[in-house]
Amino acid sequence: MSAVASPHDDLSPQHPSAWRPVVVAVSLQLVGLALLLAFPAHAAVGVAVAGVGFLLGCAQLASRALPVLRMQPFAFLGGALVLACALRLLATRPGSGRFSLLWHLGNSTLLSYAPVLLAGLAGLVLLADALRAGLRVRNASVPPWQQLTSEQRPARFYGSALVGVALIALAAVWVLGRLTQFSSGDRVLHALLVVAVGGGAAVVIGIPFAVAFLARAEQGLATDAAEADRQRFAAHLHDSVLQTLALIQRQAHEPASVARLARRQEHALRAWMAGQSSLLGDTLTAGLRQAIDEVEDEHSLTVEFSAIGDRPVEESGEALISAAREALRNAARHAQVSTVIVFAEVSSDSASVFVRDEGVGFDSSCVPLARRGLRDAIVGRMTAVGGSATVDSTPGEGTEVALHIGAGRSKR
Amino acid sequence: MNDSARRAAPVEVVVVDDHHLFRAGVKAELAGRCNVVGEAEDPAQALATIFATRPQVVLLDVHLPAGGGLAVLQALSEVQDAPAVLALSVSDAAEDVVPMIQAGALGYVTKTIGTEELVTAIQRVADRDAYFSPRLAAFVLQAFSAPPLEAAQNDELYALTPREREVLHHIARGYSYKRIGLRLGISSRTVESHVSSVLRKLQLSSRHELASWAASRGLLEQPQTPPSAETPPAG
Repeated sequence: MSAVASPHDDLSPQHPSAWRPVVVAVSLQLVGLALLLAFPAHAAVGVAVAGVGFLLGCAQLASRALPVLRMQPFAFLGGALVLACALRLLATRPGSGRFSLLWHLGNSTLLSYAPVLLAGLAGLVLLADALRAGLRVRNASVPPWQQLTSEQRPARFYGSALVGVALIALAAVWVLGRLTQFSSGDRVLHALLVVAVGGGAAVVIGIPFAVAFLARAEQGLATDAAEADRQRFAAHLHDSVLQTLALIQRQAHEPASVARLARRQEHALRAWMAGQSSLLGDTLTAGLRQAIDEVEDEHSLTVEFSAIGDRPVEESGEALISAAREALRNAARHAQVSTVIVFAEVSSDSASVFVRDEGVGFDSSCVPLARRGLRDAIVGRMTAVGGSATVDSTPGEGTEVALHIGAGRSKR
Repeated sequence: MNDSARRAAPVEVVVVDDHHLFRAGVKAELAGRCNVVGEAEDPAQALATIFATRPQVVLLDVHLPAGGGLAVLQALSEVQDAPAVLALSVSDAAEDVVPMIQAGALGYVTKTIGTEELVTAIQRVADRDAYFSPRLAAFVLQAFSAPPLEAAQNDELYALTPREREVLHHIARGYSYKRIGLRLGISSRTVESHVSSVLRKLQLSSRHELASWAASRGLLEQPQTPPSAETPPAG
């Protein structure tokens, strides 16, 4: 238990208006008592009025009792227990002695519940104090209840909170136990009373807890998701960017390969950022990009690639991609250029790829034997899937390979 | 390259980019080819520098703090004798680049462009001709078939003619203006005028879209009232 006074404890009892609710509470109890005595047949009304007054009084006095309780918790509880036992004795039917004026009352509901209520109150006080002590450490500016039901996890509680909960539970068991002793008519009344008070309290207390619990759970899920994302990013960056940076450091003396590595990584990163990595190879432009990366890697070549539209890859699309790869390799081997431009125009009913270099070119009418690959690998491949390939080349002005396919057939 | 030989003085350029290293790099690259007369790192500074130095060409980064390159283009569109703007970006995304062209940039190049090509682009833009890289041509072709411009496309005034489309297509495939002219049987000057007309259509077709685009990002005050008869035309 903390010895530091809570900021809530400085509610001044000297201030006259501070006592007004207590007066109201006491009056209510007295009225309830009077009603009970006057109309024993309608005990429920009296019990209800007195009960409201009792709860109001408890709520008012609890905050004032707290400083005392904090200093001398066991003395306070001991006193409360002694008081409860005395009340219980007064209320119980004495064996033979008729010393008690309160016997009539004892047979009624109010006083028989007193010890139970006191135990419950003691439990509540203990629990509330534990909560306050636990929460005040975190943030004094936020009321304990708000802290407890906020999205952040509350601090740990003390053992006294457990004692408080145990006392409340004991009181509840006591009440339930008593219910079985009454006749059926009374039992219904008591059951209604207990259900109304207990259920109301449970709802009032439980709803903020439930909301806070759900919010915390959701926040936990979001945090988990963010962490999973971060790990995925980290893994990806490790496999790609960090590896490339390491390679660049090792090959710093070779500007050409540094440029190639950087360019390749740039493409990969862009594709990944654009969300294409998951689709890599699944669409025509993604497949083309992959093929371009391969050729850029094999030969020291820069390919400027732009594309309009996209569609899933099917059989003819695969042929289109491999023909484009072959055209790029041809340009890299024979055109004597450092840059090749690739333009792809894709729609659902047709797809075209243009691979163009401004290299040495050749006379299309007399293709040298060494360049037969062009005819077989490109034209043959395209016609096999019902597409077409045209090669347009002028010596000294460069070469353009244009590849076309129609609407794709599904692979499956 | 003939243009640069003909030109008496090197083109005066202002570089606007929020990365100091990039500005320094461009300056070093252009040394001896162009005259970098000023630098700026945000739109406000860019406008001040441009008005102070009156360059022929502004190299303008798309991604700038406080409004981006678009804010600079918006401000320059209100000015007489504004310099030509060549947009510059690491971005490969059409949605970053096309609005810059629509807002008045005469060309777009990526930051990985080679020195030769950059100088060519600067000179082309300094002559008030559009500079369309193959990728920009592809973006523009795409823009004219994308939904936002479709409405405008129905308007004959704003739609691309088959010839313009053909020219753009050739640029996207990497043909130079001269080669395009040879292939299509027209002069390279005619090719250039086709490109300029594509640029104009792109700017006109989406003026109101651009205004709302800019307004949605707080770059521009949305005109609250339609221009009325009493309002004198803005000079």
